[in-house]
Amino acid sequence: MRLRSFFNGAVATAALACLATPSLAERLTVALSANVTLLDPAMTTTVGTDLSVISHLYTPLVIRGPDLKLQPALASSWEAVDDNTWRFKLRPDVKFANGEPLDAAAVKWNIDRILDPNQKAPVRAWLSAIKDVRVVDPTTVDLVTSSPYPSLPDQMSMIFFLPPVWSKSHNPAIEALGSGPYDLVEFKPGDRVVLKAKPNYTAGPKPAFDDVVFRVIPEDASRISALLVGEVDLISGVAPSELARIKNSGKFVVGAVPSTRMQFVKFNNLKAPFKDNPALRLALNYAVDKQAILDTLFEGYGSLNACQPLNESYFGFNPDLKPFPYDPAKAKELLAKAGYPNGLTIEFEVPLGRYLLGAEVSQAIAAQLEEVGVKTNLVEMEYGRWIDKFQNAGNVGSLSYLGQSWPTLNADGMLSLFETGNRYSYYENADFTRLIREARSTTDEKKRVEIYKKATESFCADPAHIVLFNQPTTYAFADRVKWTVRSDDWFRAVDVQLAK
Amino acid sequence: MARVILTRLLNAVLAIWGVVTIVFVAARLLGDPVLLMLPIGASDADVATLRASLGLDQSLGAQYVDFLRRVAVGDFGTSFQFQRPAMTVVLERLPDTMMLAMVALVLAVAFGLVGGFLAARFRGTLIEFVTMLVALIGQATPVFWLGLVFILIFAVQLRWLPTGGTGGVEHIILPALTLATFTSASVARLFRSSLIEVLSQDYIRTARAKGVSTLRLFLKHATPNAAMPVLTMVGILAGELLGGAVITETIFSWPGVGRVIVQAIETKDFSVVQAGAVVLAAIFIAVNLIVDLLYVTLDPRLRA
Repeated sequence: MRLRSFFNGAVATAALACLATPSLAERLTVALSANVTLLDPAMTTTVGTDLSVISHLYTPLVIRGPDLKLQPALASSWEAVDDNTWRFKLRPDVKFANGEPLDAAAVKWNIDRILDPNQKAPVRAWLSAIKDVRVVDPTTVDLVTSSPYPSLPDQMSMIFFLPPVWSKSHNPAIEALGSGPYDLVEFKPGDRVVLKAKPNYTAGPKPAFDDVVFRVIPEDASRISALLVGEVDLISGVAPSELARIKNSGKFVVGAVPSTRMQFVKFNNLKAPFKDNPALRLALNYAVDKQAILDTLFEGYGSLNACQPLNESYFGFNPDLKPFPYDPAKAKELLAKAGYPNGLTIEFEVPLGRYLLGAEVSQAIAAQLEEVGVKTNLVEMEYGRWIDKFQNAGNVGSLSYLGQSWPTLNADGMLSLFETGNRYSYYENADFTRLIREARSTTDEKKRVEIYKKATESFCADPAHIVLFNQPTTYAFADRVKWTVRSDDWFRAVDVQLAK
Repeated sequence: MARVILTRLLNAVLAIWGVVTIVFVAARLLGDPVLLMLPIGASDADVATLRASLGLDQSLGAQYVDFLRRVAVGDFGTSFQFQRPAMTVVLERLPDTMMLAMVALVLAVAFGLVGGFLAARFRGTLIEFVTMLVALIGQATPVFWLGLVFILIFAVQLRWLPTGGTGGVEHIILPALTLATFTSASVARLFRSSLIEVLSQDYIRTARAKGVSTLRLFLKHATPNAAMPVLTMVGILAGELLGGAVITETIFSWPGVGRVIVQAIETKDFSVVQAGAVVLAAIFIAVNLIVDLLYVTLDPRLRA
């Protein structure tokens, strides 16, 4: 009896709690699938959670809009004054909430902090080409690099600035005193981050929502349930097969945009059988029916990559190249030419829990390869263990299912992942490597586009991996809001409006 | 009594030292955290700089000695990913974890005792059959499935309770019920068999012979003795509920210790794994110490 009254009481409390918080039009609740670990912009490179939340609190020099174009933020304009120097002109009126100015000196203090080895900042890897930060005057700052760094402005869209004086006496990992459109109200690790719009924010467009709550909901099914009952407004990373169910349950908008991340099956070209065997590399590219995988596993969402490790979002993309057609006969022919007329057996490593439907896609690819005579031993492993083999031990399996993107959306960074000598490349294409190094030596955009055209052609003639597709970024949101979904991983309340 | 406690405390320190040593070695077998911390594309120099600044370029022995020296003064190091003391990261999750474990344990013991009692009292009847069937199903049902079904019924269909997260009392009901279902089943089965065994003993026959009513016989004479094994089990269950509720915590987005440890393992955040293991081991040992002391209080034969 007592138990029942307790239960009734609890239900009543729950009902009251629902009544007590009417769905205020100005509140936006976003579901994140992973934990927000900290709020210090120097100490995290995770875009989808940490940096996304940080972007509400702090201001970068430039910001990337949902159309993936760079827009002014703290910097009103920027230009390359010579091959190794980028000059940023800053807005004079941007201040932190305690009145500290966000000026050239504050920018310098932040970048110096990131570059200081004692700070152990993971972000340092993005800026290690910066040799010097020069304060020209309070609203002008020069970033001097050790070699030409054409995509530095893109990179700066991911660097946020702390208030130098405040930071001396506070821990920016859990506290925040920002210059951005929102103030931090509550940060409960593993559970939620609560933000409130600054009443007098003038440094950018006024956000549509007064309150923004990021809730950490790691389980996919629970995230969908939370959306269906109206606890959250936006979710992403939904299994494609669930999208129709969500749409059919009422007031929701669902869909997918091609992500800036490209999925592929990496070859270990440094050891047999792929080493010095371009025919084998080509053969496998003809053996996989990429479109069938998108159609069956991704409900048709996603788009094929065009024979290069770049897609339309990237500077330097080559629009003339076409995806490899699915042609098992040609694959068999090339296999024979490669010296394997009776096929071969190779290992295929699949890191788990990292990519949408990674295990399913890998199994489909393995089945298709088997049809042309390439048997694979699928080894599924925890991501941390796989990345250790991949980056450290240098002995990754012959095949691995992998997705890569480059946050600045620039061929320079993305193609460097295939440059001979890079620990991630597992690829020796002298022609390709020479070309991307040549592109790096000039800031002339036209010239660089031309060089990247040649480099991607060279890649396509001798691919480093089985070129697959852009993993679709799936999303679903309540139709009371309008979300301009973006194809990079950023999750920003400023991309969301109230539906009219 | 004081001597018993002192011996147990010394044992506890030894046990915790064993736990940290095993965790220290196991964590380092996971591989190199630096590569997970840096963005893809980081240069060899960046990797080497970060590795050196974290002391990970030292030999395993040197790292271990350094680690023990710091643990001795309560310093578990700084978490790579949270940039805060590892112990703080773990301890700030403890209130939520304890609350969930506590509510789940109370529910489990309550359900378990009632179920076990019914099954033993009405032995050989339909009541026993149904109670034990329910217990069997409860024990065999996967936690993740049960949790999702609870969400679908109580949160999505009926809209009585939230799908997850923390907040008021309403947030704790579903995760606690999910955890309690499994544990109460074990309690019920153990209590039933323990009661049945006690009921076959001579003193019960004597009590019956002198005309004690059935209810009084069960409650006054049989239950105290039959409850002793359950008490031991509660100690073990408490430990399991505190550290082993990862699946429930994940399904209900509950920010518990289990989840933070699993996240730390995935990112190779050694210091958090070590701090978490120590906290859980300490709690486990403490709970079992309390159970032992309760034994002494409840069982006059042990009061020497």
